[in-house]
Amino acid sequence: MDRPDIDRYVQEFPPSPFRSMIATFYKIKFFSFKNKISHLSFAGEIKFSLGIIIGALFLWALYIGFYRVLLYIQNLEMIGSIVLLKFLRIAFFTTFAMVVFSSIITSFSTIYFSEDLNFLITCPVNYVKVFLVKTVETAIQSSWMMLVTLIPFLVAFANVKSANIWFLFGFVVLAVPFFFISAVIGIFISSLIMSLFPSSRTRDVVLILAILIGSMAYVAFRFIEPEKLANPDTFIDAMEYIAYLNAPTFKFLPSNWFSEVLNSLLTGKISAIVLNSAYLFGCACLLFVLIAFLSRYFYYNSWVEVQTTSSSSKNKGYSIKFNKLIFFNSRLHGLLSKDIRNFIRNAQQWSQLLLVMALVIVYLFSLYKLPAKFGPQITVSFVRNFIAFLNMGAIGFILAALALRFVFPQISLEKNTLWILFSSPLSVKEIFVEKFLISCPIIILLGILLGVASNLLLGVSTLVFWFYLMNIIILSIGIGIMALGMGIMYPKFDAENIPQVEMSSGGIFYTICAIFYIGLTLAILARPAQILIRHELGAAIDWSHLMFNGIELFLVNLIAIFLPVWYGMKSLKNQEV
Amino acid sequence: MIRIVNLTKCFGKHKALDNLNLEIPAGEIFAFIGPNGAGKTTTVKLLSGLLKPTSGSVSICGYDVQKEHIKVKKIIGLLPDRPFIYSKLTGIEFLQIIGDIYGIPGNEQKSRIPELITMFGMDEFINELIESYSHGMRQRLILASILLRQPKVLILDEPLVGLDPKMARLVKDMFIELSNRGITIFMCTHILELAEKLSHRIGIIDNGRLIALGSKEELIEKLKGTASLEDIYLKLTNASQMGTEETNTNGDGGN
Repeated sequence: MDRPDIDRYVQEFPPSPFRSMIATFYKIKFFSFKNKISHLSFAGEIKFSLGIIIGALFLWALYIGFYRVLLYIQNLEMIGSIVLLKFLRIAFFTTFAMVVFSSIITSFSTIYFSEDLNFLITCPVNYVKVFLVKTVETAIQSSWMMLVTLIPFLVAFANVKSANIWFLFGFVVLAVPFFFISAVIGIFISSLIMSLFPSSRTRDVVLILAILIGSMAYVAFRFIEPEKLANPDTFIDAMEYIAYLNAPTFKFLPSNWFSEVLNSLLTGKISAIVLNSAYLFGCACLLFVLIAFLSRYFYYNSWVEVQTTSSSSKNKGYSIKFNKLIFFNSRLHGLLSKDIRNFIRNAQQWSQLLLVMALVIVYLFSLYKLPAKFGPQITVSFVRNFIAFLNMGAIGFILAALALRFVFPQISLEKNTLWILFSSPLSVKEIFVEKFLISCPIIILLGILLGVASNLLLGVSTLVFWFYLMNIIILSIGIGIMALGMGIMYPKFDAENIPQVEMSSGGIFYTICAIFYIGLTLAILARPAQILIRHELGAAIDWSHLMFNGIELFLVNLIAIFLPVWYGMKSLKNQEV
Repeated sequence: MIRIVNLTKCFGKHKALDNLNLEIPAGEIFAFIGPNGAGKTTTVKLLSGLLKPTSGSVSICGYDVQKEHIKVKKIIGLLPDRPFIYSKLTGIEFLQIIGDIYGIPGNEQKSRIPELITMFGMDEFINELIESYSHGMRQRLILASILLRQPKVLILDEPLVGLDPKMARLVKDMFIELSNRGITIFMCTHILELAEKLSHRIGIIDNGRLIALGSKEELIEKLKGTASLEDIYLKLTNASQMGTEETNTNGDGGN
């Protein structure tokens, strides 16, 4: 072809509009999903159907739980409706904060480190379009889980308030700009960081980011002051309490606009509906235009920086150092040192430990701030023991969430390098033990730390302290091993980041199993806890009951630990690379 | 050294490898060639225990790959077609970790790792993170890690891909030297020249079936009118594919 022909050809080749690019991109996703479903084996179909059924049952259980709690609050005299509205605002604010955080973490891998970018960037389309396609993908990835969890809460809320269909319609329509705004704010933060710092320093950047987010979470939590809801006595008078409840959580945040619209749909305030809806849509459009405009200047350069890896340090000399982990044999030492180095150098993983620390501080601080009494007829001892019991469940949930992040993805993260493990003379048992050693002690240690600190803060008696601490340790071992075993049973090798592993069907199934395990443990321990409370008040200990509950607990833990180990090892043995 | 008996691997309804029988003695360089999707990588994975056979067996140095896999893995060295390695480790750390996993004593590692680094010309980048390595640099690092553990059998999938001519020459000479020392080399490749010049015997695979086996001379002798391995390869694989198409057509007609 001559030059004029080429020019004509290039001119005739129409640039792909953004809408068409989005459609093409999601066609790829849709076809991949469709093919995955249509190529399922019989066992796969059963697994898939079972997953949907379990998921639906879980959402239904959440709905029932929310409905009961919200109904109870609604029936509180005088303040029921106002507290309910406060709950709605807190739910939306929490959702907003979680989506922003999730979007920051996800956007690093989707917008800058995604494997398909090598293909997309070479397509004859503007980089801005590629960025926007990835923005939409990030928004969906970081918000769908929160959206799904929010649905049972809102349906329960609607039922308690006897809302009409417009309430749910309003939610569906406004959820789009709300989640988009939340995700775009996260993308703004990550893009700013990627533009300001060279890619080789991303690790340091994420460190700063994690500290920032951790502090934000801490401050936000204190801003809301949820303990005030439980203790109206801290207010000077009833009017001040009601004024506090009526005050919007954060007036200029989309979470507030969203909750205002939904509340106005109940009260019929048309002007508030229109105004706050306009805020939401206006803000979403503005952010879309702004990020599209700015991406023209920063996106390509940042992406190119990512491709330029750290080759600047030309170290000509090298030395072979042997810092043996003395307790382990050579093979385990090799694997452990590999994983420790990987962990330290992978900022995506370790930086989140800082956030965990911030959350732990928040949690312990909240326990510290708990009121000493709830009423004249309830003793301090009762309150402390009762909270110590609930505290065990709360610690269980924290540990389950952490295990999902740090333990569950252990095998999935190996993905492309599994050939090294499977072609080496390592037994399945050794691989399993190594993965246990590298991930579970963090969970167990944190369980012990939380157990000791929280029970000391609650000031429970020595007997109660040891009783709950032992159970928290058992719970943390169970949660950790369950996450490891199930992570091996349900690996997600095509995941590009840890959130994708967490959100996989296996990750969701693990979460449900862990919640069920914690719930079952609490149900079994309810009776012993009651016996201990009575003992604190002077009654004798009923050992036969305690023995029976001990056996029940042993059996539950045997299943919770043994099954994931057994099936995890079996799955590892049958794994084909 | 390597004994493959009635080896078959199916992925669902697709038969990736169909009743393969092969015996490769110690010190032989065996080249396995065939078109894309013929079953070469599947065979490599079955030999190294990364896949489980649907039927049949593989034994290496008398050990069954499935039943005594730990013993087998101690004596083989695998180079896969896509050499992904831990990107957050440096090259030197990777070599040490492989040394640990394979139980090579520290003092032996200290003497042999520098030798290998120099041999493969990796002094310049061995302290950098693997994520900054090119395909060829990774290939060199994996080859070094394989030689570090002194395997009895090498299983290589496209060993020269990504290597520059100088490094490719070094690797080829090294294969010959290893073979002279009694080490068996099973090698999949698309580079016919490599198979022709280096290997003692050549196996041609197509559609999961071994369609030819022998030394270059034996193959030329069998197929009159061919002068090079390329001629043999093209003649056999074309014939095989036509045969498959014919079978498919007959199959369709029958339905």
